[in-house]
Amino acid sequence: MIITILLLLHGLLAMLLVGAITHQLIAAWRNAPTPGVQFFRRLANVNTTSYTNAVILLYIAVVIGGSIIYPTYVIDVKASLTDAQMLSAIGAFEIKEHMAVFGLALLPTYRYFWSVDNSPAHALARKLNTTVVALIVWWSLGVGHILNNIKGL
Amino acid sequence: MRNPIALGLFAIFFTAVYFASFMNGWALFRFYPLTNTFTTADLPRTAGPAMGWYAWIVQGFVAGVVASFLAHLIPKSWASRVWSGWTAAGIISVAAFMFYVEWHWFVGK
Repeated sequence: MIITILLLLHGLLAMLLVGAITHQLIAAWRNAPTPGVQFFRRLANVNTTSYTNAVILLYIAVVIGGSIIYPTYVIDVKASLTDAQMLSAIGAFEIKEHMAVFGLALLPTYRYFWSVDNSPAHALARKLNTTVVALIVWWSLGVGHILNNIKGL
Repeated sequence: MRNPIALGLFAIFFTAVYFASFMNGWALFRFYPLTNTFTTADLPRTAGPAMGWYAWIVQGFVAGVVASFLAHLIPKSWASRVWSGWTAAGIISVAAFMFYVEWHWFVGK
């Protein structure tokens, strides 16, 4: 029961994280205020810096949650996937566990270029760091969601 | 910490040592989820699957911290010439290698 609640919390926080990092990513890559449809203009014209601490805190919270439920995945889910010969699903999750750690390692640099030195000289570094974190978050949420559909905890 | 070179080296060494530990099975300790045990010893098969993930993270983190301290030995004149996007490029390189290593799951070899 506790693991199910933790999995739900893990998923909900991951959704918030995807929202925050996606807003920041779109806003970081736009070169000028976006004209056109109001929805897209609002999506891109956010204060990018204000998302930084939220992204870091959510990322750490999601990784901690994931690391608590990970043993249950190994015992219950991975064993079932192995029995069913669903090797792609196991591989996708293994990549997710590596990517999550890579993102964790990148967070200090990501924070530096948003909160400490956000000068235009580092615009490309800021965009690259944000893109890498966003790709990791998207991959992790997607794989976690698919695996939960295949066999939830 | 306000030194981008130190932060960059932290990230690169963290990921590289983490992934090298994974590839070579280097783990200072393992977690056995069936028995809920952290141990430095190799338990028999009856103890169930062993998880090295937590140890790889700790090992990578320690390597990253050491590398970030050593970064202060790099002369400032050198550090200022380095492109600020090198950390992201380094992580992308490690990730690309990781995909290459893990690709066997998707081709059934």
